[in-house]
Amino acid sequence: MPRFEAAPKGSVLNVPRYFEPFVNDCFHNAYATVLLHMGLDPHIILADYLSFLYDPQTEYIGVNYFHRYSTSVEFTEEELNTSLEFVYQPGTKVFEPSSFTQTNLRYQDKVQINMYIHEDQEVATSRLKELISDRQPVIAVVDLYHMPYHRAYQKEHGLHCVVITGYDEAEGCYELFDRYTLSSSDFDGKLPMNEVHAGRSSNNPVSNPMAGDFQRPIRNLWMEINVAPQFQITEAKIRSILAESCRRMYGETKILGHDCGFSRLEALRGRLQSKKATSLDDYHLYLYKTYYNMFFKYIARSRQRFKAFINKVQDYLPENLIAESSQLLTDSAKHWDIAANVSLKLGIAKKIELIDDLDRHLQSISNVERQAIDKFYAFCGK
Amino acid sequence: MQRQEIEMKVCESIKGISQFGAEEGIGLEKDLRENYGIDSIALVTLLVELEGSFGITFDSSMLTYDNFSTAGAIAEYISKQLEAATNAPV
Repeated sequence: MPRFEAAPKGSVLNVPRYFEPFVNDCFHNAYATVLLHMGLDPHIILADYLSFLYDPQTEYIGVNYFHRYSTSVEFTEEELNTSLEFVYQPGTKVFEPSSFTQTNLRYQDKVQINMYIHEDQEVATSRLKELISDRQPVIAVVDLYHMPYHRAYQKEHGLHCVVITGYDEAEGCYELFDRYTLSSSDFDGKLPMNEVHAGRSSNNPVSNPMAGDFQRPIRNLWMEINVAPQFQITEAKIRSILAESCRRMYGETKILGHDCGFSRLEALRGRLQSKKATSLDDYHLYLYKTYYNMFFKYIARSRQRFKAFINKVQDYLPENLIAESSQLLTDSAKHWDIAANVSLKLGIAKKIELIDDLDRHLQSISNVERQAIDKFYAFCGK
Repeated sequence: MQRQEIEMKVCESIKGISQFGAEEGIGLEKDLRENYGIDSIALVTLLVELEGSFGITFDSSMLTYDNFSTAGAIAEYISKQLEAATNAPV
């Protein structure tokens, strides 16, 4: 006997269609949607520390975690908790329907995001219906290859996050939306269940010159967000975001054993300069054209996001700090964005001399971010 | 090269890479992303192609979507570059 008897249809109404041009990624976009639905402010809850990571061995970069190619959707607790002051994420778990009663909240002062997987489509679908019946929109992961509204449909594989707000067994469809316009996604309507199931259970094969051929099976991954009734935004946590950002950028702390901050930016600049004598093989063309282009843009958005955060918490910060740091973060984001486009141009035009242009923007980034961090440090030290 | 000729060439190139909306021609003042589905990657690809066609170079510091969000803005930049090259001392 199943522990949950699903109704033949169900919908969660009035789910906000969230999108901001500075979201981190499609996960962030979907999390923000559900947080808004819960009455929480995603600009504060999902505010990540200002940071920078670079590993010269792998050439991966990141803000608070490396943008690396992974063969799994399973993450450890340590991996999932490097970025957000207001959020706790347990490691990815196989959902156990027989023993699950309710989410155990580990912290009362954090929002908890649980990532669940299950190989059995029926188990994942049953849980989805249970959440919908409990008026919770469901954050589900799919392979874009199976999403008929997307330009990647039947062409390219790629892991992507969508929000499911309802289902209808008689019609055989889900109500789903995907407003992540950074990947030209713009869907809000009904999709056949079989398409969504194919997307959720896809093996998601990927191939590129940096990582080779690999698969990243999605395993019906979904996320559930919960929070204790007494949760609140506190000044201490806001200050902690600023203080931790300073520690990370000054290199006073490590992220999972990796150095971070300004020294890593210098390391990246040095490495790029050394590449001027390197031939533009497939690996390097991909590195500039795709990897650095994509992830420099991620970092540009992280700087815009930090600006949005400090403007959201203006009751706790001096006016001049907000105004001055906002301008510096805007400048930083602009330089990261240009760096992304210069890197892309380098990869397309195959002009290695563009590394000098790239370096100039990385130097400008280092200058303006140092000014911003010095200002945050002066405030936190008081 | 006349401004009109530059605009025509720019619009032709945009039409070639547009995702949608180009059937009735390219509007000079229309936003490339909203009206023709040209994202920042397609835009940089377009600018590299135009560099080859016109024998100019887009200044790296100008490489943002905001600076080149319409066909008119791109044509204007190219026109000024060509004019500067013509007036440069030999």
